[in-house]
Parts: sequence; C-alpha cells; structure tokens
Amino acid sequence: MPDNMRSEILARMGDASTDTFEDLYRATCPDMIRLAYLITGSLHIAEEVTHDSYIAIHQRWDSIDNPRAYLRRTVVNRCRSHLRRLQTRRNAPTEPPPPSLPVDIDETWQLIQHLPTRRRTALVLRYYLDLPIAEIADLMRTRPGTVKSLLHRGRESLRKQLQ
Amino acid sequence: MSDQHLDEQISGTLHAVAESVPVRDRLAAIHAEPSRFVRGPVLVGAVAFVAGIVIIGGVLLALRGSTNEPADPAAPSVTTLAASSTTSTMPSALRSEIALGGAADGFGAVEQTLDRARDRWAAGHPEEYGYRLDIDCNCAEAGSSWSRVFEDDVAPGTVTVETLFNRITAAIEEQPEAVEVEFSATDGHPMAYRVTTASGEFSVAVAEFHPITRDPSPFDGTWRFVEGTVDGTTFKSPANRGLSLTLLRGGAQYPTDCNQTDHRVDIHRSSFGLGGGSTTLVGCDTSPETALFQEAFGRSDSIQLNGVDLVLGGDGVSLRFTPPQQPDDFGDLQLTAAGERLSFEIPDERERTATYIITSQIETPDRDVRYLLTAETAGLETTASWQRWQGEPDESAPTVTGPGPDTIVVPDDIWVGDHALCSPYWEPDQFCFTLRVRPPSAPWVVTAGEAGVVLHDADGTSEILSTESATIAFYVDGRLVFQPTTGPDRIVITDLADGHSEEIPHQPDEALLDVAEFDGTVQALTTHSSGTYLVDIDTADRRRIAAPATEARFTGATLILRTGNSFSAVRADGSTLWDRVLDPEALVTPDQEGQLRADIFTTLNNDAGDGPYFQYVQTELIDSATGETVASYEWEVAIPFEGHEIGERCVRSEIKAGLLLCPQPDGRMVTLPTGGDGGGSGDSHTLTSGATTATFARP
Repeated sequence: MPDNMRSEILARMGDASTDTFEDLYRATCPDMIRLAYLITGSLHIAEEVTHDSYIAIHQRWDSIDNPRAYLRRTVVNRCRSHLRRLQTRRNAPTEPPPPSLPVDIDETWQLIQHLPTRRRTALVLRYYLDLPIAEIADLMRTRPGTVKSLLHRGRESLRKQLQ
Repeated sequence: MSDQHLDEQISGTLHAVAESVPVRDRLAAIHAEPSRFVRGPVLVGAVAFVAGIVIIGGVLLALRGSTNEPADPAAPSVTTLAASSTTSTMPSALRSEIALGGAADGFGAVEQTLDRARDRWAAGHPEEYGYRLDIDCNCAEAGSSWSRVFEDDVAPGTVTVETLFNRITAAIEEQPEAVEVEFSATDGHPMAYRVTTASGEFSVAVAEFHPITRDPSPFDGTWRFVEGTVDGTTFKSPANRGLSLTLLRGGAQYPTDCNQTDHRVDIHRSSFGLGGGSTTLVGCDTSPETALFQEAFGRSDSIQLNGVDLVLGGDGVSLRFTPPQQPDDFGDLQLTAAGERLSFEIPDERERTATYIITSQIETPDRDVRYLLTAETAGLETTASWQRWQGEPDESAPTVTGPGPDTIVVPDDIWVGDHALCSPYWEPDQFCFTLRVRPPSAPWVVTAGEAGVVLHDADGTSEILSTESATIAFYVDGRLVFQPTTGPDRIVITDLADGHSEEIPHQPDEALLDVAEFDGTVQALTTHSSGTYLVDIDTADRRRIAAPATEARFTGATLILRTGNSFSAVRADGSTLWDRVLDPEALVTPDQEGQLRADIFTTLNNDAGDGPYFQYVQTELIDSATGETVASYEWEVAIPFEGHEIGERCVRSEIKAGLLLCPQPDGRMVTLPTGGDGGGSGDSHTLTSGATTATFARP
C-alpha cells in the first residue's frame, strides 16, 4: 500500500483531533468497520462490534481523553470478545457471502481468516494499520515480545501454506 | 517466498479486503441508545426512544445526530445539558465581535476572530450552560426553505459550543461564497453565523445563552439499598443481586434485574419528585423485590439523610440506603500468597462473570503471567479452582451481580510480585484489584549436592542444613529428609528443631524420589529394583505400590510414576488411574496439586539469524486424576537467558511460586518464570554451586 494511503487511514483512525462524537463517528466509522471485519472475518459481527463500541464511547464521552485511541482499543477488544463467544455458540448468525475478490487475494484472505485470533489480530494491526510493535502490544494488552512472537508465527504459517 | 513478497502479499490482501467492505451509517441508532449513568452529562427532561426502549414518563423525544441540515422539520425540541471540565459563572454575552469573509477577499478576518473566540471560550466557560439554537436554511438544493429552533440546553455529542466552533471552521474550509460570524466578546461563545453558498444560505443563531449553576446535592452519589416497605410489606434486594441507587445532578439510576432504569428527579430540600424516565428492555422477569422497589421509588415524595443513611419516604412507602461505596475501595492492594484464598467485594451494580484473570505484574510489564480463575461466588454453585490462561477468557460464564464476596484461590505457581486481578471483560467494562503476591513462607528451596544440603530462603539468604553431600533432599514439616551420597545408601531424617537425626531402614540401592504429606502422614516415595515403595517416615512402614519407576512424584492425592516417557498415575492403594506416553522432548513437572505440566522448549532465532531471539514454550497441563489434557498454551522466554534447551538438561524440576526450578548437569541451578501466554523474562541465576537437585520446601 502506498505510504500516503497508510497515513490517510491512520489519520482517519487515530491521529487526528476529534471534537464531537459526530465528528468521530463520521471520520472513523467506515475504517472501524473494516478493521473489525479484518479481525473477525464477519461483516455482521464487524458492524455490531463497531456499533457497540460507538455506543460505549458515546455513553462515556465526557470522561474519555483520547476518543480515537479509546475507540480503536474498544473495537479491537470487542472483536476478540465476540470471537471468543462465537466459539461457544453454535447458532451464529448467517454470514452473507464474502465480497468478490481476485483469486490470489481471496486465497490469502482465506488463510488469514483461519489463523488463530490473536495472530490474525496482530497481523491486521501490523499490516493493515501499520502500527508499531509497542502500540500493537498496548492495544492487545500484551507485551511486545508476545506481539513479535504472534507476528512471527502468523507469517510463518501463511508462508508455509502459500508456498 | 521472500519476506518482502510475503509482507506485500499480507498487506495487499488486507487492504483489498478492507476496501471491499460495505459500510452502513448507524449514527442515529447510537444516539438513541439509553445513557448509562457515568460521569458527565445527564439527560434532563428528555429521553431517547428506539426499539427496545420503553418510555416510563415525561416527554417522548428524539435525539438527532447533529448535522448542518436537520432533515425533519417536524422534529421536536431537545432539552439537554452540556457539561465541560472547567467551572465558571460567566454572565451572558452582552457584547460581540463580528467578522465577515468571502471567496473574493478571503476568510482571514473570520478565522482570526474565530481563533480569538475559541481562546476566550477555552480560557473559562461555564461547566453547564444552556441556550436556544435558531437554525434557518434557504437551501436551493433542497427545494425549500425552513427554519428550526432547538430550545434550552444542549449536550456534548449534539450541539455544544465546541460543535458550533467546529461547524464554523468546516464551513470556512468549504470555501463558500461568504461567511459571517458573531461571537460573544465576554466568553467567546458563538452568537450567530451565516454561511452563503451557491446553493443557498444557512444561518444559526444562539439565543438566551446562560450558564447553569447547581448547588451540590448532599444526596448525590451511589447508595446501596438495604431495606424498603410498601404498604406494610418489607422487602430487601433481590436474592443474590444487590441494588444500588445513583443520584447525580438531577438524575437517578438503578438496576431493575437485568435492565437499567433512569429517571429525572426533582429534589428540593427534603422534597422528592420523580420526572420522566426510561428503562432498557432486556428480556428477563421482574423479581418481586424489584417491583416493590419501583413502586416505593415511584411513590416517594421525601428524601433525607438519617445519620449516614439515605431514606426515601412517601405515603405507605420507604426505602433505606447505606452510604455510597467509593470505587477506590476496590483498588486497594491486597497481600496474598500462592495457594491462599482471597475474598473481595465489588459494587452491587457491576455485572461480572464468575471468572477472573490475573493479568500482569503491574510494576514489571515485561513479565506477564495470566491465569483464568473461577471464583466462589455467592449464589452460584461454582467451585474454587483455577486454570492457566488458555489464550482468551471465557466470557460465556454465568453473569452475576451482587456484592459477593467472590472468593478465589491464588494459583500455586504464581509469580511473586504485583499483579492485577481483573474481571474477564476488556475495557471499558473491565475492573481490577491490585494484588501483591508475597514470596512463599520460608524456607523456600532446598538444594542437594556435593557441598551438602542448603536451604535458600525467599529473601535470598541461605543456610547449610547438612554438610553431608547428598543426591536429593526435602524439607517437610520441619524435618530434613535426604539421601547422602557418601557411605552406604541411606535415607536420613533430621529434625531441624533439635538436630536429632535418624535413618530409615532401607534396601540396598533404594533411591529416594519424593517426600510429602500424603494420605495423612509424611511419606517418602522410593524406587528399587523390586518396585516403587511408599515409606512412612515416622513409622518406617513401607509398602510396594507399583513396579520400579525412574521417577515418582506426589501430586495431591495421586502418585505420578515415570519410566522413560511413559507416565502412570496410581492411587495410594496402588491401583492404576491412567497410563500415558508424553512427548519425549517434554520436560514434565508436577505443577500445582492435581496437575502435571509438560513443557516443550523451542529456541527461535532473531530476524537477523545471528542469535537466539526467544524461547517459545508449548505447555500442556494434564489432570493427574484422569490423565487428560486440561489446557494447552504457548508462552515464551525472552533473552537474555542462560540455559537454552533446558528441557533436555533439567535433572529434576519443580514448579512453585511462578518459578521453574531446574538443576543443570553442570551443577548450576536455573530458575525460570513459568507464566502462561505472554511468557517470562527469562531470568536465571545460580542458587548454589554444585547442587544436583533442588526441591521446594513443604513446611
């Protein structure tokens, strides 16, 4: 991805100032849904998680210092929480068919979707948001060494299956 | 596939997929969610209405998302409060500053005026304020002209003064034909602005701006419900569920079983009046106690403090509450140790599952050990147990409320140091206690070797218990039990209180394997070519329980025997519970009581390939009663770390207090933290030179 596109995403998702809840929503909602989709692999869950995250932010708006950072953390954490719950439920909602993608992209996407949740989350935060290790660790509430380990194992798993 | 190609493949895929995701705008639905009672603004005289929310009373209103063009001219007024972090009692604006700019001559003057007004507003403005917002639009694109009036006060998230500033800024950035602004010369708030574009004119006027001052109410805070009456019927909180009332800035909130109810309340001195309200509509039955509470609350017309208690009263009704519980109470540091039982309470209204997680060492983030703990919780038939973190907490556990207390057992192999004991939810729903785990009671570790038997206390000091070289030694119940290497094979028992020693009758070549309290007495496990024996060290009674084993350990009520990599569990009577073969590369150690732990260590090189990066460990926990795997997870040990390939080199290992105790063939003693996911720092140090075995003391 071009650097300017990464900068744009980051600016939308976390680095720009936010004055009102509406501003935050308008500026970040699409990217948050995309982020949630990449982590969960489910548009249904991604929409619900993102929606719930905004509700949580809205209800705590007055006490949040950095709404965008808080929002990003909330979305990531709620994605993982949803996935955990889904593991114990059999009647997950019917998922609409995935968007039409080129064959090579679709193949890689299928492999990414089958990675363990934590590895997939780390990869998304690293390769989609281009976040540094320390920030990923902070978002995932783990330490940098663990993030490196997750990325290493995630990449190696993909490399084996793509070859 | 090269690293670069792989990275590009992953990145390209994620971005391509992300861009293909359709997005829906659901802002209006978010605004319609009922507000929780949190620090900050409260809705006054207005409630949100969406599917799933029932209006109890008051005016039915709709909160709109703030846009420059209200789409529904028929939308009713919105009455809310705005709040900000600073306090002031600024008077209403009497003077103003006006600026006009246009596409032809630029917007410099407007922007300068806007900046000055923003600074003035930021320098000091009312904590709460209200105004009437008049909006007029002559919009050619819309094909119609309309005007709107929002009366009274506004709230953050809808149309605050900050919102108005932002809208003016946004309007200027759109390069319209003209922008006209007017700000208060007193406090800087916008008084009016008009934006003219090719498609029409949009103007906003702020009228009747006024600060709102409130005297702090002595009743504000969260109160725990104790007891109530309705027409002679006395009732308390619903079973297993606490009930708290929060009063704050003219609003009230309390849980109604699985739902939450908000009300506007009018309190003037000792009079109490109930205004509009709303409740969520989660599907659950209303308990009789909750129904009585709601009736009493609705019929209350007086409020007073009776001593430290809050009392609401009315005709035939009363409600009594105890003083609010301060959140800081829950963050207090609690001192505990591995194996201890810990009880704590949380606020009534906080829902939680019956599980907790010890997430991290607070002061040392590099060391991150996690456990999933099951709490003994009032009203739930759960048993106290714990398991190591398996990757993610189980949020599907039963959800409970109420004050508890919740009781957990601190894991036996927890690290010494500061931890955060947290509910399994992630932020913002997570809450934590601070937990300081102290070292296990001294004596701590006993090492045996050529230099004798040495007892290492938790504070780093050591004491030589015996100068006689030994192959293995144990400290149990104030007695030292060891097998000397010199002279004929013996098993020696020394009472450290008086120094008296005696020897257990033994068979030639009988090896001591373990000593522990077992089946009510202190017993030794020995092995001999004729079999594996249990020996009572007080009576010297011995009985054969199994075929010869190369290693044997006590784990709770079970004996684990090992021959090569074949493991079996036997009961005290010698009957076999299970047999199992484990990975030959696994380092198998008894973990906390009732479990075995099998670790496979793998060293990974760093990205440059010029050295070890970290050791990554696959761990399997095995129920010693069933032989079944109860958990498996991965963790890592970061460098610097001495003693790689520890799994192949450990002579006899044990785990306690968060440490893997691993004697090396060269006589060094390596200790490793044994945290679950997240791993440990990889510290290692020599406990004693020349030691060949080490055991944790069992005082």
